[in-house]
Amino acid sequence: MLARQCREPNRSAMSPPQHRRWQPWLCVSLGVAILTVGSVAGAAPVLPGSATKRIEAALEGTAKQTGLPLSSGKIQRDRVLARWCDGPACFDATLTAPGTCSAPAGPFCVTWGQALEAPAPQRLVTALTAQLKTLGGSIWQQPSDGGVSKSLQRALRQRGAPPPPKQPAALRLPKTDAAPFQILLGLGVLGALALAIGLRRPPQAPGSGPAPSGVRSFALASSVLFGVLSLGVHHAWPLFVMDVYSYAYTSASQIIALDPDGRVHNVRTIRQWRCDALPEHDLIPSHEVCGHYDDIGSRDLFRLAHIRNAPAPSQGARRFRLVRRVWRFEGTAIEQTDCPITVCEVRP
Amino acid sequence: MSALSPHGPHTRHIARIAVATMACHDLVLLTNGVLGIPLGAPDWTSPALYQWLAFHPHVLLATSLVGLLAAGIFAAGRAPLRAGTVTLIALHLAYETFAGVMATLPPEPILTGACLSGWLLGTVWGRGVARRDVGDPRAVEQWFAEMGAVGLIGITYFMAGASKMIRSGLEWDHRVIWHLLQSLTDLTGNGPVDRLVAWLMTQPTIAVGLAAGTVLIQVAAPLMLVGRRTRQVLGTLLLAMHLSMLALGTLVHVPIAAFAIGFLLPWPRLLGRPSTTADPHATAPQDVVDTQRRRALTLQFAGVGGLLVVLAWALPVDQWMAHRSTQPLKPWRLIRELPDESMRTEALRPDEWRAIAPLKPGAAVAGWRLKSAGIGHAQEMVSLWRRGNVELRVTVWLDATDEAHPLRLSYDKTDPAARAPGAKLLAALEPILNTPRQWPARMKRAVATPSP
Repeated sequence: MLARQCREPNRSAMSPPQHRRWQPWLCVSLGVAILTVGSVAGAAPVLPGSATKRIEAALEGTAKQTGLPLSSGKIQRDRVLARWCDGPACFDATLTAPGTCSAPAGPFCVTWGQALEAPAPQRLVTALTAQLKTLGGSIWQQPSDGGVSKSLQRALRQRGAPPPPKQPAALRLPKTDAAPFQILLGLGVLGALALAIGLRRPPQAPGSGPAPSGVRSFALASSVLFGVLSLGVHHAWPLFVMDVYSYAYTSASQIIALDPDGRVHNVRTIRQWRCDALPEHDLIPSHEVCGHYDDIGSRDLFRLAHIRNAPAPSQGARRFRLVRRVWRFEGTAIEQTDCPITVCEVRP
Repeated sequence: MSALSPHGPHTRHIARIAVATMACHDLVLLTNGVLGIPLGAPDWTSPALYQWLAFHPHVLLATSLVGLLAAGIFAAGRAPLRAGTVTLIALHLAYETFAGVMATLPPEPILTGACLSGWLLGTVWGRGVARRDVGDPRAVEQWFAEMGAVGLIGITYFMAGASKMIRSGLEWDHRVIWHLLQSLTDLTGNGPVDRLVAWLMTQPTIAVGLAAGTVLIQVAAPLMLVGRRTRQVLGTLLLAMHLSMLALGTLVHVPIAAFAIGFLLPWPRLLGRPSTTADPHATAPQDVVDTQRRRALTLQFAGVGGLLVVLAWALPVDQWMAHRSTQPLKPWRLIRELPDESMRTEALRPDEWRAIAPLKPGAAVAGWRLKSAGIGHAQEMVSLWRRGNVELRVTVWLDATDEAHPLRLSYDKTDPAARAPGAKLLAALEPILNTPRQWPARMKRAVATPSP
């Protein structure tokens, strides 16, 4: 009934003024209902921010135990990506929710990288499994505020997932919760609906006049001419084929600062800098060192200019690593790597 | 309002003010961008006029001030064709100089150029039509001007969408959205937008939807010519696309907001409250407008436009994705630093670089053709070579400490398609570039510290 009212407003039995008053809100309500149902139905267990340190400790512990340094690690909403390297050979592990495999290691299912040149050494597999088992079962959470339906909890238990942990309410909302998106998406849908419906019956206004003959033909012809000329010259302002962002990017990168504990700091929020050696240009490290990466050069130049122009720390300086963090997108997976640039003394 | 436009004959001046606002905004930012580059040197492929302007910022500033004045006259509706043409020329000079200095083409000012060009084209055409037809010549002229501006904005967006499909096809997918999100987001932030970005990074389906939506909206933009409603819907979608970039990447785009205000809103309804004193010249009831209210709102809109331009200049926010200025945008810098041209005089000029690295655009070496060459921020020469569909960026460093082999060459070896032929190109370039030459002493000083 509601959906039909939205689709076929003109067939309503109501008089037009009544019709305009209530119909947008009908569609707004429908949009809210769809979003709410969709978000609850699509709920899946997530890794809360409170579990980050424990997971990081387990990955670092594996590195210590095996002697293979942890090259990169990323804790995502529903998985953990980790990489240990032994010289040129690297081993990738993906940790997912325990319901997705028959023999979970602690609270995770471990999948080793498919594109490995050599299988992961047994000592690495054993050490990681042992470390993960120390984490216990209370890692995963539901993305809602804890009010997971009983049927959903039952379904998760059947899949082998641990029950939601009993934590203070403030910790229940994971950092990567989808709530903001739902709010923004909801607002967008509501705005679009209201606009579309509001435009259906524009009132008559004073000042209207008929279009002169040929005005649309002129606009169409001048547009085509402008487009053809642009294609011909490629670029001569205001003519341009607008192919600047037509490249299919496969990676992203940012220059960031890492403290000794590995925490990320925004370069532009640190006020005092003194670096051992800071290259002048934005393409650092070179692609030969770091592999191919895509960047937004202006952002990197802003950061490097900030470091270069900042005063040196007078006292109480700490040594931070300046790195380029690169995310490579392979299908829907994201591989994260840190390429070192230099070491700097900073005072936040 | 007619079926084609949300404007009436008494409200099209609002659209003209919007076009003037867009022009002023871009003129200010482009000029400020050129003035703010400490070690700029134009791309060798850019014409000599723009290279000359880059090294004579006073002249560029003067032309931009003339352009701003002309934009004001255009907004006021006095001699719109002449004033608009002067603004167009000033914008052209500012844009091309900026593009040459930065070796990049920011796409956003193209929209302003298209809008202003369309308005002027329509004005010219409309005058011709008005001479033949019966009716108010001013109204006919403005009708054509408005539709010309909308048409050219639409085709510009269309080309942006089409070029993505032509160059990348369906590979222009979620990864492009992820690239933008992950490159622009603050990794230390924990606000709602940061969490939204983090969540989007785990949702390839949504990102694919955003990419597809971007292309669809852009490709559909010419449909703004179909009618008033399609213009309002598509214009709102374009505005929403830019607003999402503002929300997720903190990229402000003032001109599109001015376009939306000037070209999409139902201005006759906003301005056309029946007057208490009837207009004696009114020929129909719909021509009756409240003149005082119209004037007041017009002035308010012009004031808001001016304020937007000033704010865009003064606020330290990123206006364009391709903006490569290493200096923050600060108005007072214009006054304080403009007299000091040492930044420019110390920079290696293209002719000086050309003296030691005689590479001309169009030259062919080992089957590769030189597409463009410019000077980077570290005084290195960056040259772009093309062979078939493969492009290769060769960087040339000047090492003043090695008289025998002063130029060092490098290229990106990670692209497998370019690895072997790239090595051949370098081998062929080495003897061409590393021939003994007489360097100006100033150049030796400028590069006393060899770059890595």
